Amino acid sequence: MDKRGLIIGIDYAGKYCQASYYSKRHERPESISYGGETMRYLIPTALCYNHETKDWIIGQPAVEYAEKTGERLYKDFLENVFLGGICSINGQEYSYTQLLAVFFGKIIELTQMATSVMGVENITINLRRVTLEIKNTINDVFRILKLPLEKVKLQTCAESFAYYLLNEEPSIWSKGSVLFDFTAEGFYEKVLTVTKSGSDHLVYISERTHTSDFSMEDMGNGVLMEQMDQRLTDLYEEITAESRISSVYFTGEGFSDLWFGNTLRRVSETNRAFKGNNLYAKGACLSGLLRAERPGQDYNIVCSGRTKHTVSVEAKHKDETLLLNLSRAPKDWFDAGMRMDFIVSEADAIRFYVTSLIENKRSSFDIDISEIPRRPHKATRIEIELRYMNEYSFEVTVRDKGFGDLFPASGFETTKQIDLTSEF
Amino acid sequence: MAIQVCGRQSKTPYYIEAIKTNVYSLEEINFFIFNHINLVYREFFCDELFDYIEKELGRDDIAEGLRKLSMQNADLKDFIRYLLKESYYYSGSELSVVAAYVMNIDIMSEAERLRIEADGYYKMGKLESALRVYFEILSGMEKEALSEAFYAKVAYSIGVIYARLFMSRNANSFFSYAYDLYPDPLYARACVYMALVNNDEEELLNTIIRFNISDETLETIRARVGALKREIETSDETVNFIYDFENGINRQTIIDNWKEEYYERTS
Repeated sequence: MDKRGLIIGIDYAGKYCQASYYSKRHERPESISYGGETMRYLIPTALCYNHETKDWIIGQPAVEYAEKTGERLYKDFLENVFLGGICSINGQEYSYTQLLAVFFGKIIELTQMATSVMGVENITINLRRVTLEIKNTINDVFRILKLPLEKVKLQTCAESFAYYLLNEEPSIWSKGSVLFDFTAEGFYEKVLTVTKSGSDHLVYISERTHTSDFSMEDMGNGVLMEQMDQRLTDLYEEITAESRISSVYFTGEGFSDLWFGNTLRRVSETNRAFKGNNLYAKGACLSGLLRAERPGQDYNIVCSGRTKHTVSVEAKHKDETLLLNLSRAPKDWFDAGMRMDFIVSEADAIRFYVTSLIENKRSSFDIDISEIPRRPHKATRIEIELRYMNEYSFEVTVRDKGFGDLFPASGFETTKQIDLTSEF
Repeated sequence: MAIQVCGRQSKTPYYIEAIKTNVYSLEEINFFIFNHINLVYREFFCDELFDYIEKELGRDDIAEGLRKLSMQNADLKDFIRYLLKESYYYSGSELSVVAAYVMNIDIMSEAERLRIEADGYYKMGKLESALRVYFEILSGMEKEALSEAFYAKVAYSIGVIYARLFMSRNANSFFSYAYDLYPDPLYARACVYMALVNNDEEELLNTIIRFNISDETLETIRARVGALKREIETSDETVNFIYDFENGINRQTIIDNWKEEYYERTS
């Protein structure tokens, strides 16, 4: 019997949230619904405290309860975290990080109730953008929820799209696929193509924004909607003129009404068309499934937010010289850092290599360690830490750790910053 | 090669009584064995060590191998060879330096172990410590049945240290004593070198007569000493040093560096 816990995918957006879990029975992600008649799977990203039941409620029930009772509705969690917001409920102070922890905790509870499975294998959260601050906040949230951080992964919409698509039959994506994402936050286009690079397959996702051409404020106006439909058709034809495409996806509340009928007809002439709002949540869930079933393996997804360079160092291991990867592209930049110890042989500098995934070009840079005090042969342990600041820049720090109590650390530390957008 | 991969460093130490020091990694354990092989006895390879290697350092493969050797009542040299080889901390060529010691470690006498220790101090530049241990070996000469060639080498090593400490009379005494113990021409030549370096003609003459040094040997050594002197006198390092010192440039720094180097040698 499979004792694996829940594999949960959450699409966390400003106004709404969606969640799904992997159903072993149906062998696919299933969406979690919570309250309301329409848009069952869209959970308003809001929280309210019910003084009668002395418990928190989330989503549409929270919105309705707040409207009915005048209780405060808490939302915009991440924004308020960064503003340092604090609120007081029943004499107790809560930070927005704690409120966000309550919100995610309730999502997990919903999933547990829907499945009768209590354990959590992993959670993948899809976000519109990921920064170090957001990552640190999410880490704090799951520390509060006492879930090990290695079970939690963040990813972007482009990645969730890729995981969703690659789980479909190859005919849907083998020639490429387009995603149009239309919400109050904007209009986004993502084009996925798969190419072979050596023995690997690379999944490229290019992204563009067309927010100035498409606005939800135009909904309800027949003429403006017709114009939007024409612009969408033109956009589709521009894309298909440059790339071969097998399928087109329409997602986001902007596509709830069928104002884009002409475009849909045009797409259906040569490609398969899909519409739905839970693509990112399911893609996040499928990413979790891959991690659970094939740990350490991943698709080579190249998109915004992922590193495009492999950073390596030459090191000896078991009498052989290796090029050891410190960070192998492509990887989410916020997860691409690492720390590793090495023993120094006779050397005053360490050479690092940076290999471009896309151009297949290699460059190198050295870090001078001549200021580490001279010690007997191989009696120096150093720590090499690689830290990305964003997908285009990283820094490498080398620290002298001495050699246990035999030779104490000197305190030597040096850092080199590398900007991948320029020669170094 | 600049760096090599290494294993885990534990937060929990393992205490090595022989050097009264905590170690925290397999690399440090290897370092202790390699550099203090004279202090490694069969008791070092105990269950506590095996458990530490398995639980704290995550090397259950090595721990298991050592336990098997223990069950087979293997010799000390087998434990040492296994651990050093499987750790991959030292390369094959590096291990060849201690191979001879390891092969004989089960039958090594106390004096031979002390000599390894003294040689180790000498290599690290700790001349006073090396001297102390070499003298300890000579003082136990009557107790152990080792060859006179062995003790002659020890006496010669003492002479070399005195020469490095610019104590040439002491150096010469021990080169001469080494020759008395075992008439190796190397020790006689060392006496000739000292006499030439000291520019002491009387000492040189006494040395030539005592050790029956041929003219040919004398001229070879004289030429060698002369060449070395010229090399040192004309080197950039010496020329720059003389210029700086005579002109008061960094004079105090030079003196401080000498002091530090001397303290280091005599520690």
